[in-house]
Amino acid sequence: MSKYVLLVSERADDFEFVSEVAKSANMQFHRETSPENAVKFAAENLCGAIFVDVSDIEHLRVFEEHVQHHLGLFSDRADPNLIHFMSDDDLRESRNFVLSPLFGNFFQRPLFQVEDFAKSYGRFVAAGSEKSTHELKNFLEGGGVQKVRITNTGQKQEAVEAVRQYLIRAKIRPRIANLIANAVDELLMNALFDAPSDEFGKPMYSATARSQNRELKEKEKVTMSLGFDGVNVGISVTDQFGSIDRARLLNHISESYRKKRYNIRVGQAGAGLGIATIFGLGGSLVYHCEGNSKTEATILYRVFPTFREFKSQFKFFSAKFYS
Amino acid sequence: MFTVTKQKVSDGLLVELQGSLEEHMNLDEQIGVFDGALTVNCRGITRINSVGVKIWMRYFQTIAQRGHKIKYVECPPAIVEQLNLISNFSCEGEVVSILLPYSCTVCNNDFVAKVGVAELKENNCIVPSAKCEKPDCGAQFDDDPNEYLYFMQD
Repeated sequence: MSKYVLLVSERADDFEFVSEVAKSANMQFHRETSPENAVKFAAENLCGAIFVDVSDIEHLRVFEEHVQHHLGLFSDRADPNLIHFMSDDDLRESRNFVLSPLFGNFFQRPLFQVEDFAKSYGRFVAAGSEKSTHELKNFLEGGGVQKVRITNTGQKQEAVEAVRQYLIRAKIRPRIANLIANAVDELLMNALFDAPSDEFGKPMYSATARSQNRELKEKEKVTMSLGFDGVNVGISVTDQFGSIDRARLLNHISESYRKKRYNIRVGQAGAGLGIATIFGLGGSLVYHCEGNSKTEATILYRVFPTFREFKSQFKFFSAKFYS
Repeated sequence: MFTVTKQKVSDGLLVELQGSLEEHMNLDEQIGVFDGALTVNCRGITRINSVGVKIWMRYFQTIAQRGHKIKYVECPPAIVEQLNLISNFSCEGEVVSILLPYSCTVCNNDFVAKVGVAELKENNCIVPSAKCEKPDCGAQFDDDPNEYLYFMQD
C-alpha cells in the first residue's frame, strides 16, 4: 500500500509544492487545512511525510496539541523524522521551531523554480522515508557516487582540495566550488574530531588541535562520498559513532551571529560555528544519525550559472535520528 | 597553503594574506611583532573555515586590545561573507575596501572589482557596474547587493 504525503496548510502555494513532492516521491497526496483533521488522518493512514505550515508559531502550537491529544508526541505516527516544517522565514530568524519535539525537517518556501525544487525534495522524501533507503545516490538524479576513506586526519586537506578541483573541472564557478569545499572541510572536521567518543559517550578529541595529524583507528575512519548528476552536487561524510547530540545540533543550526557577538571559548575548537556557516551560506544539510552506529552528514547543492542564483536556491535542513 | 608577505609602511606594517585560512595558519608567528598600525591586504584569501575564523578573531582581538589600529583592505568574497555572518569578525578593525564579485554568462568570465567602503556609503551602497576587457562582456554583480553589503549597515 502506497504511503501518503499529508499536507497541513491552507495555502495554495503549499498545495502546489507539496502535491508535486508527493508525485516525485511516488506517494499519494492528501491535504487537510485543519490540524485536528490532519492528526486524525495521520492516526488512520500510513504517512511517509507530513508537511506542516509553521509560518505562524501558533499554527505549530495547535498542531502539537492535537498530536499530543490524538497520537502522543512520541508516537510512530508523529515521528519527527517524517515531519516537514514549512515557513517563509529562515530557520535562524525563527528559532522557536527547533524547540518543538516534532522538529525533524525544515525548509523555507522556494521563491523560484518551484516545480524543479519540488521534484528534488520529493526524491529526498522518498529516500528518507525509510532508514535503509537513505543513501546519497537516492538524493540525486543519476550519476555515479565516488567514495573516499579517510584514514589519517592529515588527509582532510587533500580531500577538501580534491573536491574543489573536481567541481572546478566540472565547470562550476570557483566561488561556488570554494564554498562547497569549505562545507566539506567542516563536515570532515566534525567527523574526525567531534564524533569519536569513548564507551561512556565522552568526546575523545573535541579539544584536540585540528592541525594535529592522527592515524585513525578502525572505528575512527571516515567515509566521504561525492556525487554530481550534472545539476545537483551531493557530498556525504560518514563517521562510525552516531554520537551527535540532537539538541546541540539544532542549537548550532539555528544560531546566528549576525546581530550578536561571537565569543571565542578556549578548548572548543569548532563549537558549532562550522555547521551554522554551512547552512547560512546556502545549500541543504541533512543529518542521519543511527545512535552509537553512524552519523551521515550530507550537503546538497543545485548548481547555477551565477553565484547569485546559487545562493538564493531552495534549501532545507533535516535531522533524522534513529535509536 | 597559507602565506603571509610583510612590508613596512609609513604608519606600521602591511601584510598580504594568501590562500585558505584554516587550522595550519599561525598568525602570531607569521606576522610577528610590529609597531604602529596593521594593514591587512586580504585579496589573496580564497576561503576560511571555522577554525580559521577562530584563529583570525583571537589574533586580531589581541592586536586591537594592545592598541594597534587594524585596517582591512581588498576584502574578497570569502572575507565579506564572514563579515556578514559574524557581527564582530572585524575585531574593531576598519574595513577600508572590499572586492565586488562580477560574473558574465556571455563570456563566462568571473572577476572582482575593488571599491572603497567610504565610496560605497557615499553612493548609498549602490553597487557600480563593471565590465571585463572583452567587448561583448555582459558582466553583472554576482551576489545579492543587500546581503553582500549587510556588514555596512549600522
